[in-house]
Amino acid sequence: MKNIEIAPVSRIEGHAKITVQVDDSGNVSDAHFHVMEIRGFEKFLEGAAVEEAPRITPRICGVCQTAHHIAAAKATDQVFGLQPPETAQKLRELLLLGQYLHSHALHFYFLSAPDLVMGPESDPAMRNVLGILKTNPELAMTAIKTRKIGQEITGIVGGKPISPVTAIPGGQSRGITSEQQSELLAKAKDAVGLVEKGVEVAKPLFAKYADEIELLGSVETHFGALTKNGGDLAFYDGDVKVIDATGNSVHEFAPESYLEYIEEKVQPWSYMKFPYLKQIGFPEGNYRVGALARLNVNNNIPTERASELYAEYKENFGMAQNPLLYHYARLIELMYSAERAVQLLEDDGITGTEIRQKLSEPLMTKAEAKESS
Amino acid sequence: MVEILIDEDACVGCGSCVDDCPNDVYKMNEETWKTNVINADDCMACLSCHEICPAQAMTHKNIHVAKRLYIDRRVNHVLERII
Amino acid sequence: MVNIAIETLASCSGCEVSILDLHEDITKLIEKADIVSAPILMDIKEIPDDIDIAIVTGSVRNVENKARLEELREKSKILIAYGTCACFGGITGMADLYTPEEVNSRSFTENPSTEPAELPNEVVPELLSIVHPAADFTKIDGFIPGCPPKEQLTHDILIPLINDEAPDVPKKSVCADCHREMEHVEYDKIHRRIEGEADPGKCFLSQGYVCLGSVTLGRCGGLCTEAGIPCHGCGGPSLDVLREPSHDIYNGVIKRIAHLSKMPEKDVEKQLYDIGHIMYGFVIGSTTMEEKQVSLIPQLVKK
Repeated sequence: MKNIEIAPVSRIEGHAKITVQVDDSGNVSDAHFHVMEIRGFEKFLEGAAVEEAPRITPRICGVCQTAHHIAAAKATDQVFGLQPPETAQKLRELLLLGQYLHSHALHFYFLSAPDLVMGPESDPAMRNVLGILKTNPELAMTAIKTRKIGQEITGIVGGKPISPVTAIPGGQSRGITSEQQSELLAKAKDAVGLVEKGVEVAKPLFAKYADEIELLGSVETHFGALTKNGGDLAFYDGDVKVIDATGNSVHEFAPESYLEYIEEKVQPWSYMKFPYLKQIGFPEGNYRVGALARLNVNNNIPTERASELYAEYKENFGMAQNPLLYHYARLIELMYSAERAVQLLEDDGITGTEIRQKLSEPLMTKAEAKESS
Repeated sequence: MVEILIDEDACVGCGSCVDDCPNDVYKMNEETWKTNVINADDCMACLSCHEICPAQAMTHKNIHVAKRLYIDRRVNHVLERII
Repeated sequence: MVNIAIETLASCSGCEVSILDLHEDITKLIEKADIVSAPILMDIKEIPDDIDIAIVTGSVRNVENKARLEELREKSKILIAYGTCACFGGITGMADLYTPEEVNSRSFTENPSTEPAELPNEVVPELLSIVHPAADFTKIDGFIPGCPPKEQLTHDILIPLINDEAPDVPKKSVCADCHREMEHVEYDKIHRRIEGEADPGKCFLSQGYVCLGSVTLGRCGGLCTEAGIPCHGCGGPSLDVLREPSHDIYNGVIKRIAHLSKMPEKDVEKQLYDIGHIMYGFVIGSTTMEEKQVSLIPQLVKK
């Protein structure tokens, strides 16, 4: 029995180690992905004034900080019984699209594409974004510019590009002006063009590596994702829908009810817990989320070019199970993000001034709360 | 001669230096809402203004700063290395 | 060519993303510098020798972080603590508000979505009992606080550094960057940040909201206060708070609110809420901040 270790896992956010157990006849008998870090946000958030949650949770991850920020804001909306006005919801959706532009571009171009662009057999020392900068500066610039537009959107709508601040209980703390709307609209349109360039580079690569896509890490699981209007791709809001490996709906629920459907398993060899479908059990109830899941669970992308790419993708792959297809799904979502940002910014409603529902009465102090209970 | 420079971009117009200075070196300019040095001659370099200013807007030149021997070496080590 | 390494400890990677936020200017960086190790971007698994400038982000939370940090120190000429976590412990330090047992239990033993289990202990690195900034274990040659340091600051520091020039950046508090006007307004009530609606042109402290701008190192453009949100101190302590034994984040904010509102300091203290997360949230792990005589950190942390 041999134990192969790959540490640290590189080109990811976070700390992980992979161990592969090989039996005496040289076949892989088992493999593990160990998450090597934990910081305790679940506990140390306790005792904080709850309106601080949207400021603290973004520090869970510096890549997807906006998603944490908005999710925390949505949770505090519910805690205080506040309903963000329509403009605030549009701003929050736009804010989230800023993240998707930066984060999907980061993931695809900076972290994953080196394997596809330079090839899985190429020199590991060159097989990274810096290598791409040297050998294919035009592609690198497409990547950098796409990411930059995402960060600019987050910076203007969210206050700053990393760990934005404007999503607060009840809405947004700041709106955007019509000058900012024009500026961002121009950038969002640029982004559509830039993503198209990326698609032109990526599609031949997916064709070239069709075998790897088919064979690498193939697994069948359930999928969970947000859905809206009976099957529209949704990032900001919606119901959670879970489907099985053949595409049949297993659950559909409002996010607040998650405890009835999702449970987590602890393994002694990883700090990260393993979510699974409670009513099915572990490990049969394992499910995947993210780009692959969103495109499997849904059946419609409400923007033009992304919808075309989606149709093509669905025709080729149907219910996509193979992990490498995450990259393809991500590119399609990148196109959707750019196009949807254009849609939101073409609507003058985005500069509306009603951006916050305020508390109707002051909060009790701790002492008052104790007395009243 | 003591020279006091006010960084007007940094100054927030709070008037804390005007209130704190024991020698009336400053006066609030009620048009710009920035502090003005009106009496640099009387400055005794106590640096109370420097300490109370929320934005560190003032710089004193030509003063003798006594060595801050009461400051912890570890703190000094960090202070000297903040970029 | 200058050899640069970027090592991520217990970090959210926001600092790494802030370096990538140089965007096109990254070419200015790699003209003169070779990034010889950066696990988030490249597949170099072992820390190489002969590093000229090492950038470490994140706090030291477990034994693996400590080992990587110490190895990095051995193999590099200049080691820079980049980001508030590496400089002061950062937000990870909030975990010290609870005992390690309480923190672990909340994730693994007493958790509404989890069947109770032991703290994982196979293969994964053991957690240290408290959170540490990098300087607790190694000699640090430069500190760049910020959560994360803003792109302009990063540009203005890293480009000169790799060109062997001294960076020349301001070291003022957030108030220097903030555009709000501080006024003396008499009031007697401090508001939670979600109560009422703040006037966008006036200082938050003048309106009865807790804002840490005056006690926080700036160079951040005052982006939060510009966006309608009070400063929560993510840049770490301002230089005067760091330097003066009698200055602290807590008493600094109290003094200013008292000064502006004419409230007696005692009354201000009574109304302050959530000291652990709001006042000290980003510096709980810092020995310097904890050891001040006036610091409340020793009362808040559970060891």
